[in-house]
Amino acid sequence: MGGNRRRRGQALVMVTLALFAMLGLMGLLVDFGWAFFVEKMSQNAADAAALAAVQAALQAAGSLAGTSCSGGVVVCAPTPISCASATGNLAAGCQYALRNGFDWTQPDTTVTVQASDRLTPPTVAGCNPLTYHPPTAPCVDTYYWVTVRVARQVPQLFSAIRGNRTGLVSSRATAAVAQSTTVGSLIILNRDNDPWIGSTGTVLDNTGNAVVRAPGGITIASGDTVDAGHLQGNSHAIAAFTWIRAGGNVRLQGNATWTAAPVNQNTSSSIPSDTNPYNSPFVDPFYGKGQPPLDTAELGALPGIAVPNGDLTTAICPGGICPPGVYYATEIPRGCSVNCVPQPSGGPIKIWQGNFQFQASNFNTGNFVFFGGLSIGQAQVHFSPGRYVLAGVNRTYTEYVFETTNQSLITGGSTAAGTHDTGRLFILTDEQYAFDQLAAARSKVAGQLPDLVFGKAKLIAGNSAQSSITLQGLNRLSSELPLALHEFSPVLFWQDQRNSNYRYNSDGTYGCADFNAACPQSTADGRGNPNPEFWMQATQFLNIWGATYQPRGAWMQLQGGNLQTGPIQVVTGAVRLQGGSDLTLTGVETPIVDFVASLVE
Amino acid sequence: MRSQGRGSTGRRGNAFLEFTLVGIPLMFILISVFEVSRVLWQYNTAAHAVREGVRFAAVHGNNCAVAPNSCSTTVGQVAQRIAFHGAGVVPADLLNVQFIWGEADQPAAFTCPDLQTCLTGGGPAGQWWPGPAPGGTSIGGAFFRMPITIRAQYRMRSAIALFWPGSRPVRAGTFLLPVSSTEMIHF
Repeated sequence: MGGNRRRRGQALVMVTLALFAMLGLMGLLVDFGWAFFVEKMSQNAADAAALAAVQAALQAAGSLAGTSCSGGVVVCAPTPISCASATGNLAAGCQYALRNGFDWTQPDTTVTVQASDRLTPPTVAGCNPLTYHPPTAPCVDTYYWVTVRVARQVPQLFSAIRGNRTGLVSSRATAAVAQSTTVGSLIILNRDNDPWIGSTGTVLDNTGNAVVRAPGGITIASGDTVDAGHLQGNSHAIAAFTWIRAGGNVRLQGNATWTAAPVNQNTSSSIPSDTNPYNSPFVDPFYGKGQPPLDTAELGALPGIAVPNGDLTTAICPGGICPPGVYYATEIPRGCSVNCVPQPSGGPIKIWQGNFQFQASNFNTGNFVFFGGLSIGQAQVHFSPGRYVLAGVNRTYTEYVFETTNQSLITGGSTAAGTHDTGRLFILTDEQYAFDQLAAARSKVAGQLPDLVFGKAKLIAGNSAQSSITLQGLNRLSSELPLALHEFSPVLFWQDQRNSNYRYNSDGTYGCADFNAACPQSTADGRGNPNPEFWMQATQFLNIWGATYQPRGAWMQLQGGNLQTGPIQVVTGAVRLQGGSDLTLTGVETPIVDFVASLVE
Repeated sequence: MRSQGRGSTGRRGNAFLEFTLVGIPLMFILISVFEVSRVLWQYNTAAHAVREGVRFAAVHGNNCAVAPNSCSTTVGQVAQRIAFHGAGVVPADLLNVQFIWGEADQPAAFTCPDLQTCLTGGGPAGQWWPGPAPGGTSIGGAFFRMPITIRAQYRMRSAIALFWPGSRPVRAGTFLLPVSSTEMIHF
């Protein structure tokens, strides 16, 4: 009995002891489980908040240049601040943390935001190649970034035994205005109903024996069910991929081949459709960005340079050095016999012989305006970094706003990787350009300019090193390039969006809500009478680094008999290849990009 | 007294019998509860680790390779991220770790036979994923806003199998827990 009594209660002791251990273990599990759960929630909250804050900033700023801390549009916080004191776009981001369950007014929760622009510390300038990156996302080049840290004290069951009643769970996310690559090295924008010299709907027309190679891919926005792309004879298209908008097909005749076989896109959920034109491979990569801005203050400071009969001589360019200025041709008015004063004729500036350099001390002062266009003959011409505005033609003289012959030796910049200068931008336009940015330049012309309209462009390379073309486009890796032009790097030739059979709005968006409809220029926003052709006669002596941009509704004619390889991206409405041209568009190190709000950490 | 004694002896016998009858299933249930908890725990940890891995990859995509950015990652670096977030996950037991990109109808993948292999530089550890090598031209393995997936199987060794009748020789049974996570490339 006594033994019985001793045994009684032993189980109680053991169970009690075991209960401690079991409950402890259970507590540990609950602690970990709850911490995991809260951590996942906090990461979601931080991601959403950071992304929202940057999106709000980008929306408010409208352009890269507006994302500067000093601009007063976006809010910066060099050291993390609580959401309680956040304002502007940072407060907007904080709302997303709140909606995800992290209320910073609660004693157990903290939500902090930190933000800065491209050049203000704590943004770090480092890495090779040089980037301006947030401290938390190494080697990601940014223009504005926001880091959100979300933390919460979670109650502890297990650790509470040792006095730790709470544990800290936190997450961090960084979002930034960063570059996002545009897909494709040959980007063809015309759709089924856009008219051009070729058959409507057929936007890549290869009628000769031409071979086009695009290792970076081809995108075709036409959904023509028969022949969005058309190859015949011995012509070939060779690309890593060809994306054709849903429904579009290619037609191959004779021995023509197309590798890799084109695929239709835009049906897949992973490729965004036109519902977000800013992120569709079939919409102008510069959609909604407007046109590259000129520096109107610099234009106002330029001298007007009258060129008698349009012939550029050493009298105008001493020693062959042509300074920045507004160049325009003058002529004695026909029929004038006494006291005749030369008047602006609107004829092209001709460089038909000699050796000339357009020279400026740096990119920003390198502003050259040519009223009447530029025609280069058997001459050597060098273009230093800057903006070259080819501002319309007087069709009595020529239909080309920019023209070279196969006798020209044209240089400017370098096409070899890692040796690029700031670059140059040729703008093919009329006497006004976007929002009449050329008003200041027109005022430098002594006398009355005739009406100057859009012209075509013709780039012809010769067959030897003595008659070659080497031109390099805008390089955003150069610190000298103005922020406003970063979005337009690596463009070399920019054709005015109004010089097209398709209407663009002044902000660079498409003119008609139905993207598949033909949308002709209206007299209200275009000057009518477009001349949207770009003629490129390619030989192996045509060396271009950068992008040629033509709006939707314009087209490019490619002709040549020799191999032409280069780091080129071509954006155009439609392409016709003729002759035996063999064109290889290799990738540019700094391709056309869009600047978007994106999570980077 | 006698009857009490008899009764007492009878109760002793009952307790032993009861313990035998109840104790074994009780132990089984107890161990099962522990094991199921452990499986769930391991599954959650492995899933969490893979999710962290894919999130890390999603912000190191194609744009990381476009100059001046140079933040491209390799399969090995993503594997390290998975290991870092997988407290208690044995790398050698995370099998067939697939790093998948591309369209659903034409997927491509790098596969580590197990995470340990890729952590130590073997297998496809040196491959750039999900973007191309830094300084590479515009097009890499995966495009912006395309989905990427990490899929793996976690090998569990469970003690429950010890109780399975007829399993000879007695050893811990193994089974595979599939874990997977998909995200769009953010950057």
